[in-house]
Amino acid sequence: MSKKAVFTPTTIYPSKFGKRKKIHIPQPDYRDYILRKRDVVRWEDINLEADWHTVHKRGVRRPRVGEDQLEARAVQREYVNGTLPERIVYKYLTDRMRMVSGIDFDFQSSLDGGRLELGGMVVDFLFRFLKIIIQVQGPTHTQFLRAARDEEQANELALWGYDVFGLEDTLIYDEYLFEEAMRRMFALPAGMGGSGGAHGSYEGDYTGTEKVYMIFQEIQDNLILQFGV
Amino acid sequence: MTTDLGDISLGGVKYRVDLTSYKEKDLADFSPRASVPGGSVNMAELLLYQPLSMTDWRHGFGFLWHTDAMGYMRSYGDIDTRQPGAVMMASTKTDISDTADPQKGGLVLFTTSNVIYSWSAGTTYGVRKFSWSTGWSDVWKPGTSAILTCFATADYLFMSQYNTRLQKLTSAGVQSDAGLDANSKSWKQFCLHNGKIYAYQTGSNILHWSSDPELDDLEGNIDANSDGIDDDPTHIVVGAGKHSIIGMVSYANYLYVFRADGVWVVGDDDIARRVLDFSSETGGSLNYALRAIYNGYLYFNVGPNIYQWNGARLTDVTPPRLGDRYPYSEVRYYGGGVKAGNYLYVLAEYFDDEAGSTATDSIVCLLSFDGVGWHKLNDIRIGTTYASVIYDPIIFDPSSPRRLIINIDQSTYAINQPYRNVPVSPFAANLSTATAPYLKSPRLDMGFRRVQKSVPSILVEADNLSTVSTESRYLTVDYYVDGSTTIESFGSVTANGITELFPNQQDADPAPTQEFKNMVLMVRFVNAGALTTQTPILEGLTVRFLMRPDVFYGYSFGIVIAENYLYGTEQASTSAKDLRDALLTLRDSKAPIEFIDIYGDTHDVYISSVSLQAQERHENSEDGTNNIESLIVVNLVEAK
Repeated sequence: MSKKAVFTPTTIYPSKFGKRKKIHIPQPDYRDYILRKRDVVRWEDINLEADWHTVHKRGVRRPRVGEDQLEARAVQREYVNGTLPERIVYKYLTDRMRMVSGIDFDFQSSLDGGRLELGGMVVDFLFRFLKIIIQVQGPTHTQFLRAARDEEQANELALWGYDVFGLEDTLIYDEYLFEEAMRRMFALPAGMGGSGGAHGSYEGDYTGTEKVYMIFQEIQDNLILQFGV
Repeated sequence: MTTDLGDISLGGVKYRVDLTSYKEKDLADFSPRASVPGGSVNMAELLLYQPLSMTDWRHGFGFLWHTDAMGYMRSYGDIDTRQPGAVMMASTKTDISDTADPQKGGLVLFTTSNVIYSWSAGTTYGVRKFSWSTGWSDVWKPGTSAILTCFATADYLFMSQYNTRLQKLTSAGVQSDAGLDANSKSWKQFCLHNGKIYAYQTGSNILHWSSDPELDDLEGNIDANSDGIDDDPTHIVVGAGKHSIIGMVSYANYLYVFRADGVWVVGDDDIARRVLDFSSETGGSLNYALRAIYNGYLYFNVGPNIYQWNGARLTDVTPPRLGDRYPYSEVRYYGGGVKAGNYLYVLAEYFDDEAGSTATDSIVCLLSFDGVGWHKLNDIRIGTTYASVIYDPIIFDPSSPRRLIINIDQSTYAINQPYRNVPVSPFAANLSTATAPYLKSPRLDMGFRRVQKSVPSILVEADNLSTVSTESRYLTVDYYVDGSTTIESFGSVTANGITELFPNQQDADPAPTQEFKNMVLMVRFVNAGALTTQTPILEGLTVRFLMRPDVFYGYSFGIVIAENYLYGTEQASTSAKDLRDALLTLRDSKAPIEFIDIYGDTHDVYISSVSLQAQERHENSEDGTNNIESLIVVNLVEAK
């Protein structure tokens, strides 16, 4: 098969019709300072669907009407730095049960080194004389590591003679179930026979009632020894 | 510039506005949500009306405002709010007064024979006993002077008369002398503590004690023959000074001794040490009338306050105020207290505020404390005032039925108390709603005191009601709003379950509503069938409401800024800059300015924003200022 000759142009001539011509447009002597529209026009003025009424740049400031109903049951964060369920428990202890923080109970009490040492513990509510500990359980306490740590801590505290009760935040948010749980923990008259009144029962494993009765006798001796009465 | 051409007026100057830009809008929330506990606990977000529910009353009385879903303002008559999820009538009193010798000084239960003894502090000078089968009968009638106290141990009932040798009585009724000699007399109170019986004499600040169960060696004098030799070397002096001992109680392995000026403790070393100083409160003639141990704490009263002592710290647990009318009902005196079952019971006297400023009567009532809330169970006696401490005017008889036995003035009453939480009869019969006991809710303000609310109806959950002719039991719900003295009615609840009631007892159609800033509900418990074994039961109250705050309006429109602008067929004579400057001045006004809207209504407003958009440049104005036609968008907020 003979080799086919290939034509290779050595020079490219521009097409007569394709030749481009630059058009010069006369410019004004001065040019306006152009701003984008959104920089000079209020967004509210051009968006009629928006909350158009402007007090500040962000529109009408709608006040937060009223406080949260759970916050109404909690001690203010300014006084006690804790999570919402912790502050609800705190307010119940101080207001309803007339306990005194620092004497009847310690909030966020450090045990065995607290957060400073490995293996140390911080418990939410420590009732030193009643030998009771209340741990407020957040939504993460079922996670494996948290659960394992809680269990280990509970075992250690049990060796020291403490009973550890976990109060879940969802329980605390229901004021009727919370009432029932607290009464049972502190040996106060509760709905007997599993009754929680109109709101059903809290079927927890609280066994504090009998223990508190027993311990109350010991407490007095401890207090008197400690305070030298 | 002329000021009389335009659609609106701002600060007395009329302006032409771009009518299509004119807007008017309310600024306040249509109906803010309640922010109190118990408000909107069920799926209120799905409804137009929001519910506020009360389904438990265990936090007790004294809540003037609805700050606690389980608290209420007060009760009147026999009302028991201690049961979870229910309010019912409290067991009523049974009068067991001793008509032959009514001047009772106190009560004691001799558990060996299970007989209640009482003694006369008045002029008949005797010890009498009570049995449910035979009533009151004489035990000892020595005459001469008042009996001071009786004291029961397992074996003996000791009887102490002023200036007479101490007597002891066996359960078989054999009486003999007790104490070492004739000087063992005038004992005011005894207290069993640490295996010894401690005692003091009236008007004395010296404690004597004996470990003999017959009290045969109880000395009554320190130095009877003035020979300088101590007759009772083991006597204990409780504090110096003029105050004598008022009471004793054994608590936490220590003997607590009360004087008008403080509290002393006596330890194992038999030395009295002062632990609490109330020397500024010595004027209270009824200090320490309440001395009770409940749930591990010692409770006692100093004046109108009740304190809780745990061995280290003192907490004020005084019952809160009752009622919302001046002069306010408040507990003034306490008569005594006892622990029974799971509760602490306290006799208290309060002033009745229901009669308003014309009230002259005090009411002695029975309070119950459950460690969380104070509950008033019974108004026992009206018109009685405590004058001085009476020892043990209230005792608990644990034999069935479990009764509180109470001495008030010259009467004796028994009130059955529930075991655990089962209500017990008898309940009082109330032949009319006017005399029925009632529960008063707190002032329901939904968390917003000054916002008007509108209530179309309330829902009442009740049980154990009956319309059978022989046992008519029902609830009536009354109310008053904004502190008014006019009491309106929602009507009666006669059927078990949930009943919807409408304001002023109207029907649902057309929907009547009641508007208010705060509302107080009064639920009366009527037992008109006179069946003493039954009580109506309230299980829940739900108020349906809508909050209706005052309305504020905002306005927004564009004002035409142009020289000698046209308005209808006329032409203003003003420059653009004058118009713009006038608006900027109004914007800067610190006080509200007058605004007449496009319909001619006048409002006080603040200009909250001014936004100028230039449109076109023209020849200079006649006054030489730059004539730039523009549109100013003005926002106004109504001032109220």
